[in-house]
Amino acid sequence: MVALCVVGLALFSACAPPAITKTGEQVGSLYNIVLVMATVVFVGVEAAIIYSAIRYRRRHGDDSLPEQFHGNTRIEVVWTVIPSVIVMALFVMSMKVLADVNHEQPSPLTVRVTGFQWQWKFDYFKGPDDDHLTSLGVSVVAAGQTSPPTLVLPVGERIHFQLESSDVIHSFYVPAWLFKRDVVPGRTNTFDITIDPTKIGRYEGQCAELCGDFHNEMTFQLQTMTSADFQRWIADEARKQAKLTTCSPSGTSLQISAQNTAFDTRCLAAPANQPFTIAFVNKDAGVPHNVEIFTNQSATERLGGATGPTDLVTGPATVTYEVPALKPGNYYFHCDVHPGMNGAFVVK
Amino acid sequence: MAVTEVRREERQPAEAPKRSTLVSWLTTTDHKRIGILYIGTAFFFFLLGGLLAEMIRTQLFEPDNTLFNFHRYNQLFTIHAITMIFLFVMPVTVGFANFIVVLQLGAPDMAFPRVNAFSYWLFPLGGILIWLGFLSPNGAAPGGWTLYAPLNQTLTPGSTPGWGTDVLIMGLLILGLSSLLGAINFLVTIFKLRAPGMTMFRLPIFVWTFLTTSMLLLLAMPAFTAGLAALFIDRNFGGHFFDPAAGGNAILWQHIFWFFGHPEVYILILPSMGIVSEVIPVFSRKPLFGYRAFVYATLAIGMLGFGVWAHHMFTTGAVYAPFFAFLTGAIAVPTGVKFFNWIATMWRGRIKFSTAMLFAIGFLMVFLIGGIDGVFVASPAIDYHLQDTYWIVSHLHYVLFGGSVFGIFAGFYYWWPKITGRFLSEKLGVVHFIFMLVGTNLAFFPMHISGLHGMPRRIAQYRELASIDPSIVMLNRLSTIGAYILGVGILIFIANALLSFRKPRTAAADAWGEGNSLEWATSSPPPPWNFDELPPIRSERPVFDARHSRVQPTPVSAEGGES
Repeated sequence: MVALCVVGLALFSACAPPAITKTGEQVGSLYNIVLVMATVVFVGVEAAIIYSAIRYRRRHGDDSLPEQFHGNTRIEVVWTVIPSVIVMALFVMSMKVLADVNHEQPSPLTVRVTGFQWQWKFDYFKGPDDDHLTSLGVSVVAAGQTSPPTLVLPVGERIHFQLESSDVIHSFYVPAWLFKRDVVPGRTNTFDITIDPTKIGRYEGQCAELCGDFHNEMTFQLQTMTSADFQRWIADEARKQAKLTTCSPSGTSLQISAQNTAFDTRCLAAPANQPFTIAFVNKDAGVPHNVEIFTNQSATERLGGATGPTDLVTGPATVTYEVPALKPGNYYFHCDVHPGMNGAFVVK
Repeated sequence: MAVTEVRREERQPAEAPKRSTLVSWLTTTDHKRIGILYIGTAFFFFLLGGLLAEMIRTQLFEPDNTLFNFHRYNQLFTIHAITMIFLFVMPVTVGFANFIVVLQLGAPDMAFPRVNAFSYWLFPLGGILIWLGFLSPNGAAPGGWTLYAPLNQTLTPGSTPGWGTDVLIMGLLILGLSSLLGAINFLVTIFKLRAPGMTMFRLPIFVWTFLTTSMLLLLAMPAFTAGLAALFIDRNFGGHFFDPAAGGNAILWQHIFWFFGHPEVYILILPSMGIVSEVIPVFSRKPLFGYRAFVYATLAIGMLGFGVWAHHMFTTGAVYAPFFAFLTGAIAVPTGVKFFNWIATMWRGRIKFSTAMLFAIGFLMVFLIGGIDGVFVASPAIDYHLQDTYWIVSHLHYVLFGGSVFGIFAGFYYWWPKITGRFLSEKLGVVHFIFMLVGTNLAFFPMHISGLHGMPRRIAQYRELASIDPSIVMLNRLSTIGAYILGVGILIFIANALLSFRKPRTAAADAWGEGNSLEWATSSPPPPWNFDELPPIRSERPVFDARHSRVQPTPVSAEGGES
């Protein structure tokens, strides 16, 4: 009786937690089906072990030799076939759920997740597929190491994710989705998710792959809202961020500093057609940063500043970059080590 | 036989050169002494690794404990895993195999005794090198025992700076060489030095499991060695094997690592399965049920073990999951067959609850959970949720602690009289067993639930998680209490071992009075030349046959007894 209660209690707390996505619910049900089968096998085998141990225990002073049977082909075939059938059935069920979990199709909204030591950046795009994306002008990034960013998502619609890393391997994990996918440098992983329309609220997310000292602080919040609320949020956010990323030049000596894995400004400006300098102060002890200017967010064509990911300043230290004259335009800068540290570079 | 005779004359006390005890131990090529050296050294590292485990669990008692900083905490779990896997479970089973396999074959020594000594001496060298990392200004290796790239080739602060990781890689290379030499030595010994009459299908199951283990080492270790060398080059000489920024591939490391790492799991568990398969028949007074099926199941596990490595990589999105999911499910079948064989061996036996038998039954009861867990994560969709959470930590400890370590303790109690001539206290043994059984389940079962509710592994603090799900704190505290109970259990075992040396050597050749295999045909402890004479070998139980030669014809009635 006690044993039954313990098993029941263990089973109850060992059921899959509720999921907020349809595929997550499928994974949860599959887990619970396996759990029931596993419990039957567990109870059966443990009972057989305990029964045979107690039933056939040696009485005191019993020197007799039991019957020396060496095997029984028929029963051995039976207990090879039965587990094989169970395993095959589980495999078929698993593959069905796996196909649904990994299913991708064109989605109106794409979120590009960038993992870096030790924060997340979320960029919002719209577009029919991975090759035709238009930025929605919204980029969410943490204010610093200890204030996690919030990933805002609409419920009830299919959302496409792209995962990229700029340093080591991370893993993008939302326990409430019963899902994670690794964030691998040199590789773009993708998946789709649809959040249940009734699941509006705040949830936790976290990096699940060891990525260095501050791995356990690489968390984020997930805020889900209705489609209409989300449209309002993204429009507001785009306006706010556009404002943040406009500024005007005031001389040829620019200044920027980094502290707590964040720049002190999201916009730098320089006068057109004149060489200028950027005085960069890295206040993060033991953490490397730099400032590199690119033509745009894709950060492929360098214009000035640091010469690349190997040209780093480990704080506390100051460096002055000399940048040649640039033509008027709206450019982009970031820290090569922490792409979440970025901003607009205005030349006019 | 001729060989044993010659050796025996060589070792007559009058002719033996006078050497101090210390020098004789340092220069020994006797497989039994080397076995004892392996077991002793491995147990020392077990205590060190256990100390790290207690430190880890103490840190996690509070969700925002600051006992250890993040960098130090990462070193604790990295070196804990490395120590337990490479410096305890592997060498302690090699120690048992050194002592026991040779005797079970009826051989005078290993095929290459000097190579055997060399293999042993590489082991403390590698172990010390790895632990030296704690003296580095940046501390020991913090990058996880899986040494994932590019984290472990990144030298910047916060990743894996300093030489702690470098000495870890060098130490593992040395231990790999030791394992390779040992594997070749065991294969040659098992194939070439069997006593007359000892055919392959009369080998004790422990020999079969160690034969399979040696084959796995021979095939898996070279891949790991090559990977480690590449990682070392990436770290120190500007290589780019695993650096995507320079055209390398980060996933490549995981393929190399797990091509070794999954067979490694079977390297860690198969010897314990072998020990349990020796203990259960002896204390049930019955032959192992389905000997041949058991041998084929062992070989099948070994072979399938090479086809499932990428089930550790489902979440990378870079592997073809169905293939690896199928083979992973398939490997449950031979494991299940073994369980039924063990239970059928006990069925209608005369079971004596010696401590060795208790640990063997404990192995069945606890390892079962680890095995069933494997079926859950064989499903890729379920694995997406559970990978890298405490659920996996629970699974792997049920396999490696509830499985391997319980089997190893069964081996300690079973072979202690053969190795030392003395018996461990059965009373203390039962107390030790109860602490281990309770501690294991209390420490590791709650991890299933905390992992299922989203607690990632390898984190020093879990504030946010605890704030949305306060039960996580309670689960972690239970685990910590369980870990302390395990610690007390180990102390009881140490006391038992030390107390045994104050007792006289009373163990007879067949110490338990019902041994089956050839180690029980010689004195306890055996003489340097192992055997004065061997019983005829006509089955997998030559000592049983010799003892019961008067009751030969098979169905044996209940009045048949032993002399």
